[in-house]
Amino acid sequence: MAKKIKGDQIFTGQLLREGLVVYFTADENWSTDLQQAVVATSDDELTELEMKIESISHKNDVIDVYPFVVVRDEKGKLVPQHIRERIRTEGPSIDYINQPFKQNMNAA
Amino acid sequence: MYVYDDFDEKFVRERAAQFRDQVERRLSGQLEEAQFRPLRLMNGVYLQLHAYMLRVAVPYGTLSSRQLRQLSMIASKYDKGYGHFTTRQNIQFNWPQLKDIPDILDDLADVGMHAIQTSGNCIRNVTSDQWSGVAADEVADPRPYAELMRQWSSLHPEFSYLPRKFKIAITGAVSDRAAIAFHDIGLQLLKNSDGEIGFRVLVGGGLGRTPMVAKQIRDFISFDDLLPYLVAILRAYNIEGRRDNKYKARIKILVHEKGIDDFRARVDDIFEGLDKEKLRAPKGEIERISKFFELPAYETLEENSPELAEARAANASFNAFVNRNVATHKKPGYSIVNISLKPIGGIPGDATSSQMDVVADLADQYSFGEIRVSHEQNLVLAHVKQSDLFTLWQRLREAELETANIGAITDMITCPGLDYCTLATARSIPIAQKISEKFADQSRQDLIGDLKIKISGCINACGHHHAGHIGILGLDKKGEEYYQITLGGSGDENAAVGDILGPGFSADEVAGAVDVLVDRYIELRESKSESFLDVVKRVGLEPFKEALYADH
Repeated sequence: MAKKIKGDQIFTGQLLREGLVVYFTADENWSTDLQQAVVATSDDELTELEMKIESISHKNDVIDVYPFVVVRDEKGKLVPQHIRERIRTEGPSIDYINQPFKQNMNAA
Repeated sequence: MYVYDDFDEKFVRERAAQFRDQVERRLSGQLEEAQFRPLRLMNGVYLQLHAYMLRVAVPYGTLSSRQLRQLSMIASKYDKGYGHFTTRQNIQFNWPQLKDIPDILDDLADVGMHAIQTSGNCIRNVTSDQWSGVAADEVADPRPYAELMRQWSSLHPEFSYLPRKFKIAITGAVSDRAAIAFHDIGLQLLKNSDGEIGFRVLVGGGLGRTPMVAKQIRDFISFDDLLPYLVAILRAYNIEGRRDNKYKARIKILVHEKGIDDFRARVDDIFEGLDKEKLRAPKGEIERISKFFELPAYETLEENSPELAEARAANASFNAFVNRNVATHKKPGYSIVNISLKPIGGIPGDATSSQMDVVADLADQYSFGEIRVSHEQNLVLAHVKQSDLFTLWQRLREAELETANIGAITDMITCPGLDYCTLATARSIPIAQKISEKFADQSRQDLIGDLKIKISGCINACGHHHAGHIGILGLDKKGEEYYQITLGGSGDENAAVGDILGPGFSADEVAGAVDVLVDRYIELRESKSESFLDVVKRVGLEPFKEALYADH
């Protein structure tokens, strides 16, 4: 069961194969773009989303699924309320090496 | 360096093949996540904040140049081009993809490496002094004993499902550079009055949410009895350690609750009942292992190299590097070179693929092809001729690895914190970076002298903050990061847990607070040789509290 916490919430998880952070979308898919996430504005909507995620055929592709609280900034964009989720969404806050994966480059 | 025998080679290959099969079954949906998770953890694969993380074991912190090049290749091919050296002398890759990890494990197996027992409730990588074998103050080289314990503890059937993880550290020197008193078992090599090698045994040390300095359980145990005695300690723990509460499951809690005398009696009781002969290392095994750790073919050299003296006189930056990063070697004319992975404003413990390649090349050229990893997240070339130091330093400088700060205020232990870790409550790395930048000036660092800052991003204390002369613990207060400061901790032979100074600080305030503490120390010290830690011991916390909270 989703934890009942106040505020608008979205579901997040990580792709099984790659580990990348993703968000549950209105078209019952997963996107790496937070802005594509479907927002639950009540506990009932949150429960409904959770049931949808449980029922979709590709649920095996995403792991460690949980909801977190989001707010909208002055431009109307979704922003995680807590710093943990902000860092998880935006990547490490430090100037780390963000070299593209050679594997992926080869595949492309 | 130790080279795998057929048994090691076979079991590492078999485990890699098993994990390949497990990953395939997971990806195809035959295994569910709940089934797969313990399997991936047994192979060092964690799920972190942004991606998977793979922790690779570096036994007692010793690497060959070939192994380091392979780690570099793995970082470059499967990750983002860097690796992170940890406080357990291991390396972590922060971005591997699950689909690639079976290939990574095969690549590791090609150079005698793996990720087994880098997670889970088992005996973890045995750690040791990064100067093993070459330190001037060493009684005996701990590496053969560390290797023996690696073999003994690998896939040990009795100890593969302990109440909680179990960490062993060993040192052969008087100065403890392996933090043995903060391990579940700490071993110090000694010689008795007959010249026989044995071990002082400490038990029940640890950091985390309940920091404890280990207690002495034996003042001397002979080599013959080492493995049986370890079995007795671990058996006592395996039977009596708590399994009902994860936070009270480490051996330190058992030793604390029973008291060291009762625990010793329990261990002795088990020890006496053991078939010791059966549990001892096979006859001749330690001699066989020791052959792999024989010191390299050093040249006979003068005690002091004239080339070194000339280069030091001619180049102030090089001289600063020698003063800070080069240590006395037990062989005349040789030096121990410590390579700092703490550039000013950089990410503590990170090395790029190209830096790893450079260090591997330098090891081949100047240090018999061997590299060490320290628990303070730096690298070591243990056998460098003094006459090669200047050339080596120039090569390090080209790779941005010449930072002259070993043991100084900017040489901080720092956990990955909330930038990577799912357990973290606050960021560690940006705090370290701000402190590093504040104290960037070399002459100020020299003025301050030895000062160990250690930073953790949560109470699990992977950044060893309890053992920091200045410890910094990042916490979450209603969604905001704040940082608690402790003073007076130490991870050496006079191990101590630091005391909390007072109310915490915001992320923006921490570096300034450290600055205030350092200024107060400079005012309080009676001479330049009185270290920060000495002053804290002499005057206590009050003068530092006054300085810190006067305007807060």
